[in-house]
Amino acid sequence: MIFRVLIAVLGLAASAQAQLKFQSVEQFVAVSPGEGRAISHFNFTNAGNYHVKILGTDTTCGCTAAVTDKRVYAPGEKGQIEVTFKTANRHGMYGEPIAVKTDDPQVKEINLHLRILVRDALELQPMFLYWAAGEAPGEKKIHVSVTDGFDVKGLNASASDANATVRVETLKPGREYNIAVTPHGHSFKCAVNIQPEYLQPGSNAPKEFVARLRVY
Amino acid sequence: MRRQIVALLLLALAPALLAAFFHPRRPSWRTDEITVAVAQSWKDALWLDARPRDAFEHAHVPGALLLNEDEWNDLLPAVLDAWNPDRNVVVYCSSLSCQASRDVARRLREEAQFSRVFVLQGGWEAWEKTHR
Repeated sequence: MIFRVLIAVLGLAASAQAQLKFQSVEQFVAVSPGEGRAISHFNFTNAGNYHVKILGTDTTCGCTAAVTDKRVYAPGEKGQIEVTFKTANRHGMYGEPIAVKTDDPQVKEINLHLRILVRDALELQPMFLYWAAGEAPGEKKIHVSVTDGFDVKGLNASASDANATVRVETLKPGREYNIAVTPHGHSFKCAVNIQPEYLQPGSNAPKEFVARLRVY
Repeated sequence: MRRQIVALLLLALAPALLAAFFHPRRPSWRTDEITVAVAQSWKDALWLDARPRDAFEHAHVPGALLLNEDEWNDLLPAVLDAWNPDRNVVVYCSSLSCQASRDVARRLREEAQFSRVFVLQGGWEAWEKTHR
């Protein structure tokens, strides 16, 4: 008896398949913030035997927009949803869900997922150093790694306040550096300006990165 | 009979686990997410609003600072100025389904090494409900 119920449930589940068949419901794209936006295309086919209308798309962030190339798709017709993710000021890995709403009675909503990795020419880890109240003002380091695809031959770094000294250590030329920072006072904050030297002058990559420090 | 029940339970478990981990509107199991009541019990918490500027300017948690990713580089210095290692940080966005607060919290932990960063469950929507 239980297995008859199970077979009936599985049958229902099998019949409730979306008519819009996506080549992939998850995609990944890597970009640099300077590119301004990441664009990805989700391609699909109407594999059913009736027209399907896309009623709309929902995203969870104002930074993401999803648009279809048209609204109604005939049986066998191919279509595309273009997803644009705004990269300005963003950094790291993002996951953006996109809900596609249709008038398909079998499956009214299809969930897509776009993963975006935003990486700049330099990765600073961390970009903020602090010395807590009462902590000895010893040297701390910012690890700088150069992202693949960016040709850097060296780094220059300087502090915006004379109360801090900054020293660049080369770990792997063109790939990895440490910036050693030592404060010489209490209750101050300042910026550490980091300028990469690019192999190709006139590169569009950012000319300056800023880390910050604070001594409490 | 018992085997059939176990088989049914296992069959049900697979889609349940998939939904729990991958559904875009899955409930949060994270321990870094806190309720409005818990956040309000912290008297010196630093509140950060991860919504767009227009939503912040319309209304926000009293004392909250704006920190969204669209204006990250411009807004971050004020947050660093207001922060100290003894303060808990509470980040919120518009509702349960928004992701902005989690992204801002992640960046504060990863890039600035803030250790006590929490996301407000339900975001601004939950705050408004408890303050009507």
